Amino acid sequence: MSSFTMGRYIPYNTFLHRMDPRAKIFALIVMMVAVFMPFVSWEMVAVMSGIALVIINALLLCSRMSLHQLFTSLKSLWIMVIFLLIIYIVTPRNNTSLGVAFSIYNYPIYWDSFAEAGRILMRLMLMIELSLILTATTKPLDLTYALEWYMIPLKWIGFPSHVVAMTITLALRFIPTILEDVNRIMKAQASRGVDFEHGKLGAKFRAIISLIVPLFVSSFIRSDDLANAMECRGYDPQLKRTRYRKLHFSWMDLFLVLLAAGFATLFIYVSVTHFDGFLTWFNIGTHAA
Amino acid sequence: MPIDFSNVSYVYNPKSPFQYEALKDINLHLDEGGFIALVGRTGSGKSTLISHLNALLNPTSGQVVIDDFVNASEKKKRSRDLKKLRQNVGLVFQFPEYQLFEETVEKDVAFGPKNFGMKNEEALEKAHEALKTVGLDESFFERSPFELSGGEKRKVAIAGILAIQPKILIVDEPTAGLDPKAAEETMGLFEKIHKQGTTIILVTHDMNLVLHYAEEVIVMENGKVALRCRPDELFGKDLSEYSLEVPNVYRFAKDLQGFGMSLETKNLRSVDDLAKAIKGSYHHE
Amino acid sequence: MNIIEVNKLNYSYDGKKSGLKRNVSFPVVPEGSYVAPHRSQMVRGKVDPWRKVSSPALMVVFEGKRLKLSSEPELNQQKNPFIQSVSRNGSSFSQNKTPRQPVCRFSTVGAMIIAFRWKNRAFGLENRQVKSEEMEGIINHYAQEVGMEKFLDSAPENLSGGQKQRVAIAGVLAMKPELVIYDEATSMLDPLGKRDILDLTFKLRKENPKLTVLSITHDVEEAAHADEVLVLNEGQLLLQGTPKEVFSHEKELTDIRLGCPFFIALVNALKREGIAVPDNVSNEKELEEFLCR
Repeated sequence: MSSFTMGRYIPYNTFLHRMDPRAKIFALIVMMVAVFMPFVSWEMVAVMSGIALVIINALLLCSRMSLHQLFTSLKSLWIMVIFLLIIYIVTPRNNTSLGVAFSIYNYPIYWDSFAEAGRILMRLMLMIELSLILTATTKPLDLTYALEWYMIPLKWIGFPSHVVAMTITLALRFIPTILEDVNRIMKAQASRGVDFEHGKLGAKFRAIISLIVPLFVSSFIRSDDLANAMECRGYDPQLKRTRYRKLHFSWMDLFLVLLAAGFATLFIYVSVTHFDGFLTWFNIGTHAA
Repeated sequence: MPIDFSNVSYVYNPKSPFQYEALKDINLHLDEGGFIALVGRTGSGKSTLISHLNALLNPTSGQVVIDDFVNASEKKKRSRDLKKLRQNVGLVFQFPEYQLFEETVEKDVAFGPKNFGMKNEEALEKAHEALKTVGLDESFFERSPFELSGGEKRKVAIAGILAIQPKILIVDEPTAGLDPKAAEETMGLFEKIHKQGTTIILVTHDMNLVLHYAEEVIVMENGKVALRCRPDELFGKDLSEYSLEVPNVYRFAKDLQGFGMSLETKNLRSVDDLAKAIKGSYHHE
Repeated sequence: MNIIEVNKLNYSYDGKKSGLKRNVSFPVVPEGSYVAPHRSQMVRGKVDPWRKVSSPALMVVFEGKRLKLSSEPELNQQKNPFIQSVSRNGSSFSQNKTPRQPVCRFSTVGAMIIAFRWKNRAFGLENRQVKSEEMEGIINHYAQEVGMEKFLDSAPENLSGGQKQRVAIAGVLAMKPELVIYDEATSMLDPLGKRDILDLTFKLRKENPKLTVLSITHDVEEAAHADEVLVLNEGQLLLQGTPKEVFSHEKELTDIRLGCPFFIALVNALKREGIAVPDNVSNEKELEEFLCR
């Protein structure tokens, strides 16, 4: 149970770090949508993916995220992709535009299968990278503020968005504490002879119980204490509260928003119009405008 | 069950920005049957040290031998029978009441013995014995641990380790958060167990406890063993160097000596001893 | 945990006797032994009006005003600008719309810090609808008061127990309460942390002589530094007075197995050895001088 590195905020001071979290969330969502747009031909897929790769990785570089963190997050993808690849190879295809790669015992294996798997890999990778950029450059608290801001319209239909936001903030704040708890309880139970690693299913189940129950109990006690403390400091979910941290939307943020919107618009346009056009400018591929 | 540390070092999070050397080349031999206090400021390495005794941690280099169990840095040198080790070395963590989870008190206390292979009836027997030892009678056996008070919960947790009947008992701040009465009871319990032959290792910040109960003191500082002596020998040392609180009786006695009083400091372990010493010095005048 | 609803709690604060007097700083309440399973809940029932209390009328005298809290709803309609009153079992939240100047209690280590440093202090201010521009100033001021100004941006996990408590104190002070209750604030700290908090409390009292601090504790050394000590046992007020008065009742204290501060214990031990210590010796320093004359 070492450091909680996945998606962790790393306090550098890049322009991405300084940006308004609301802008960042907008950009993230919009760019993710763009990345998932379907395109009409493999060449287009390649081109658009290339563009996306370049831009998103440029942003990644700007966020000064460690490559190590990136690789750890991506590691888990490989297995899934290989699994998918096998499925694509095995299922019969009816649109094999890319031709045969090679054959095994007269069973043709098409390039298309690899292309499909590759496209999925690309999309997932970009999605993960975008999320990592967001979480690495934004303090969890700021994220919550941004989410709360986005949920404001929901207040009009009675959704208790500020309460939800407070809940999220508290949950985030207590994650490290709970992890510590888990660590502590595991050590205590291990000292009583519990083996968390080996053993039959039944034993493992009991082992987990000896971990979960104390964890729940201490969490409930803690939340009780916390509720008292909050109440004692005057917290009332019904009353209006002022905000210490104010979010400032600046020109930089507007720029990012426009950039992201532009990016997404491009992708959506290309996708929707089944655009194949600019390849002819470069005389690549077999399709004409 | 003697304990031997040979050139033991431990590094947390090696090769990372959070790297931290908690133990630096520890060499230590502990005989069987002692009552040893392990003290030192927060971060001096006490918890890391005791975690090596039941192999919750493996040394980064060097090895710890507990009786015939080898806890070495290299995997192949390590002994296999972890359960036997943990049966012999009982570790009671700070605020142990947080580990309770079973439906009834007796089940929770029997949990340990069962993990070490005892049959249900035998485990329950041991549990009942242990509960009586800590001062909880039959009326507690079938209650839920969660309805007990903090002090009672702690007793149940301690009973949970005692039921295993370890040869070495390590306790980390057993009196933290307890009121004076409960603290006294708890320490009395350990004294009793010690007299029955168990080695006790007490990790604490409370120097008054050390003075009162321990036969030997090991002071940790910055990952090393800085001092090892009998409690009364602490009198002559500068404890603030190790961020240790000077026990009340010592502080007072030192002040009196500063005023010119000649005090016999050989056996200063309690307030009564101090009063006797003061009286003694009057008689010499 | 609902045992507190069983009516074992019967605090005998007679109507006339006031538990807290104005400008009494740092009265301390050490714990004796208890009948009700949850010792601390008992004390909470006494001084924390917003706890679930189903016992009959509980009188807490605060600044000469009586605040009666009970399970009768009507009685809670009283305007309580200084204490938020909450009772379960048939009563209602106080309909108080004024921003609460609470009797702030803060509880044992660890549970209290909310989010990052500044957020913690801001929390109370946010609840009180203080303008955000003012907040910064207030936060910095109180951070300095407790000596934690360098830690304003750190995450709570990286702080020691004593530091965390200091932050909690700052958060509470930012609300400018008249009474601060410490609920075993030091029991889980190491000696260094304990001293930290005690020193801080003294400093605060010196700077603000009107501040009353009620500390629930069983650390008798801490109690020895109080202006007034109340000893509770099994729901009854056993002893009340200055530390010297209270701790001279050696027999009662031993009966309920409450410790004695070192100084008093030594005086008593000397008495047993035949060395009588005169009454005007009231602390260690004077005792040392007396013994060395």
